[in-house]
Amino acid sequence: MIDIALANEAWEGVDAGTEALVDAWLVREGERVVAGQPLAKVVLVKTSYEVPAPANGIVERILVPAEQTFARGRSLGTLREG
Amino acid sequence: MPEGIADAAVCRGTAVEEQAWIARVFREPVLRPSVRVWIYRRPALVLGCSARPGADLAKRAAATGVDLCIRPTGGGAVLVGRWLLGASVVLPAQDPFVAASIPGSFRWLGLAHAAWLQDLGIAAQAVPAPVAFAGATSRWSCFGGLSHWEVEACGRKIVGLAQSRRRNGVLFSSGILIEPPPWEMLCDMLGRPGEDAAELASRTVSCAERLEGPTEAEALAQSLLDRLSPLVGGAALGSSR
Repeated sequence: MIDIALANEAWEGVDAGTEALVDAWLVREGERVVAGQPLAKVVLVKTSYEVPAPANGIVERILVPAEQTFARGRSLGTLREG
Repeated sequence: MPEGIADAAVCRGTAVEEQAWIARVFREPVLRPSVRVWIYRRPALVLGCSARPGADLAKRAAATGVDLCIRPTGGGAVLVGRWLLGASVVLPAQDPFVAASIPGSFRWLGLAHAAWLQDLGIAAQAVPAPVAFAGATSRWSCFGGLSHWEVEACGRKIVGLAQSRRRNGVLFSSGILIEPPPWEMLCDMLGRPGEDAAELASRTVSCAERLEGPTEAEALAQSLLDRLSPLVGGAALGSSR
């Protein structure tokens, strides 16, 4: 199982305590996706950002629903590779 | 057209046309940079991508002759019109100006705007770290706060920045106050109290105020285009060599 997450590098220079927002999920749980496919749109520091699929597989769980915020390092969902 | 650029132009248009242009550009992978500087020929309320405007707001906007748009970038509400220039810089996803760090990726754009304003005679600086302002407007208005590498003059915000990163490319956008905006109109439309309009007026400054005279939007737009286009064109060429 692989975490779906906003890359750590994207958070570099962001103040501790600042959270990002899941603007929208572009896929549903159970949907098959390919590596690089945008899975969710998130917003951090006036920037909208497409979170790509880290591998081919099936979106197993969405852990942070749309319109909720999340902190650095938090997994947005999980992907079953294959 | 500077070398390395796909498209560079000053456009006299509407925010709706600007958003349509951005949508068109991102239909395919971006291979070379494009720069457009917008002079708005009618007012529009432009909301950040995560805004969810209700039917009431759409009615109020229509009743006042103001377009209502959602932009692809993040951040708070902006009222565009003849008082503001907008710049859209579209880059390939692998462009050297697209740093991995989101705050850090605004650095070049903030510095370019500050240098442009300095050349006009305005003592402007890009701020490396956000400046926290007390009050309500920083929570809903782009110009209510200063984020990473946004530009201030005499301690008041003059340029706002935002960004959208997609698989097909990256959009950097800026809004530059060239005249004092009608903050009351913005607050009325969003149902904000009059104190918010006063707060925004006290935290911002425009080119006209700093230059103590009228500004010519066309000339300012062309000089901003001339500043940004060679910069992104040169960076793109450098990375392909």
